[in-house]
Amino acid sequence: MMPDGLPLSLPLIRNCLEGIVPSVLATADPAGMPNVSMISHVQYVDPEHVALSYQFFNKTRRNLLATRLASVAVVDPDTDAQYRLAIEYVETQTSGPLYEVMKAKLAGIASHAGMQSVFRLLGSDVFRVRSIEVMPSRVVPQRLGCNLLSAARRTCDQIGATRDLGDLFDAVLAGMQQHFGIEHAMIMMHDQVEGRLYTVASRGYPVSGIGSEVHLGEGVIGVAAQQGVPIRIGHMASEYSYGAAVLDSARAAGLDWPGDTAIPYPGLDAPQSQIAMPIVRCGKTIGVLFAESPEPNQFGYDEEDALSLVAGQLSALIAVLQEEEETEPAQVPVVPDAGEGREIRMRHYAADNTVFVGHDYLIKGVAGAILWKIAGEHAASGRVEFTNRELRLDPALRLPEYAENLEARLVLLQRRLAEREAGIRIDKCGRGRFRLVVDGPLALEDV
Amino acid sequence: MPRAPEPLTPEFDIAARQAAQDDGVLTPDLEDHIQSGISVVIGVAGPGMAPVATVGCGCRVLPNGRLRILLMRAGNETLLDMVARGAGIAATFSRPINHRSIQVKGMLADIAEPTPDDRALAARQHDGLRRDLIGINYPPAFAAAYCAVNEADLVAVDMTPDAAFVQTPGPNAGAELKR
Repeated sequence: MMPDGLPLSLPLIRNCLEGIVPSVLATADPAGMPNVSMISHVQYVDPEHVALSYQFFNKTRRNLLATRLASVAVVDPDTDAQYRLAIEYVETQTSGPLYEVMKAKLAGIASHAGMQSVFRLLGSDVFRVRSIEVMPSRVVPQRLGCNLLSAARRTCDQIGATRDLGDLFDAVLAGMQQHFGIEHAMIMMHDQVEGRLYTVASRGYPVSGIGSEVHLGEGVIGVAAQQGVPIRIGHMASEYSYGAAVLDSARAAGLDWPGDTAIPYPGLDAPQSQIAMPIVRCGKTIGVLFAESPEPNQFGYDEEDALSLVAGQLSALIAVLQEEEETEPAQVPVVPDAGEGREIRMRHYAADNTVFVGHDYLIKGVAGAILWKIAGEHAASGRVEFTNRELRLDPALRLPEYAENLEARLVLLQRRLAEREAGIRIDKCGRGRFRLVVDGPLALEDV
Repeated sequence: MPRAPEPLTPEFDIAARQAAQDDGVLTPDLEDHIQSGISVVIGVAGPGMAPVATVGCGCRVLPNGRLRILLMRAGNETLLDMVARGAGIAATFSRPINHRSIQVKGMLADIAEPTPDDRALAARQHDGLRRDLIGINYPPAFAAAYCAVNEADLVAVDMTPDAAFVQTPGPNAGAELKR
């Protein structure tokens, strides 16, 4: 029992399970001979379970498989509060969400400790916690931090007031800055057909990176999306760095640097802490809410919990805004309106729906196909107003029926057009409707 | 786990042990290491007794070759009871600035009353650990709390070393150190 009468439970001591101060693990062989070692971290799994990283087949490992019981002493890195857990081996996981969570955390610890070549996760050993006891220590007062529950509530209140998907994305990032003190963050949506995530909103970077992409499984964002589980890292590790991953995959594919059709990923050059929260709807990852900091160990278990509330609310609001848009009756007004400025040349590559405006790359994929379709109709008939619904039903756009996020594509397209100052704009003009505004006549070339 | 500015590998101690002309479990160099004011972590177990982990505060090599390991009594009552009932003890001695880690095990262990010298030695050795922790960027307030020694509460476990192992991270970690 804690001194104040609350039962001592694993969720109360999670700060000891961040891998900031090493833990002490004691095991015994079948004859009762003890073995003791320092271990890099103990992972919180749920209120009844922890996991240890299986990195080497050593004496500890042999003992655990033989006698299953262990004792682990853990330390709170902020207060020096110390606890001893009696644990019992349950199973080893060599893939899946827990394994990926621990792999990312271990990579950060190894990078920080200069042990990249030594630490390698072979498996996650899961243990049931049989008991927790306090080990007396000199406890230092904890510094006052952010009230995370209040921050989550205030952010959720704020984002609930938005009526437009782009505004919703921006409000989430503004709320994280204002209430959590998170200065660098972005929202990426999941393209389930291409297996990629694309940036729809960012905050705190010199360039927005709207439209930049990350592949599934790449970095903390790609792993979080792939596994549907939050991924955190307290010290940056090269194998989770995007620049390196993008270059490596380009080289592995025999390509030169992708050049002018790649929108640069906006992330920090030298991040230390990163957290990627999957945005989940009906069990599927539809996007990732991502935050990072140049300071180490900024995102702990509590930050993860608080941001998961925000990500959950974000998912629900995305669904609500989409439903609202879909209930708007379709109207297809035709307003003859030719821009009077300079001619705008657009080139479309059908292979991947890449669109250039002038000599500059603008967009590709579904967003490129949407732009090409509406630009074509505009050039042919002068039509300027379009509905989300007709895009959704257009077989030429090949939008998958399931969960594919048309509205997010429109936000992406709208923002890319605005950033590139292409002389083309998309303005919302009612629920589920938007207007194409061009500064000059369009000259279209299909390649 | 902070970065060690001068990391060692297990090979350092394996080679040094093989080169030493010494039949004991611990060479003078290893005795110096374990008494040098570094991290001491302890595991106790015995036949029919589940293992228990704790942290120690220091170590002295006794004139008879046994090791006196110093730890706090508070919070270690179960562990001390196990030693009294015949449990064995393992202690790993690690230097944070180079990760050099040596584990010593013994099945013969007894509880002893620390002398005033032992109490002062524990405070001195733990102060050495405190300085090392600050040296690898632990916050000074944390390092001071972690290395605080309540001299009045110290207890000693004397053990006969049966075997020593290198635990420095790297290839061959866990190898027994013997001639």
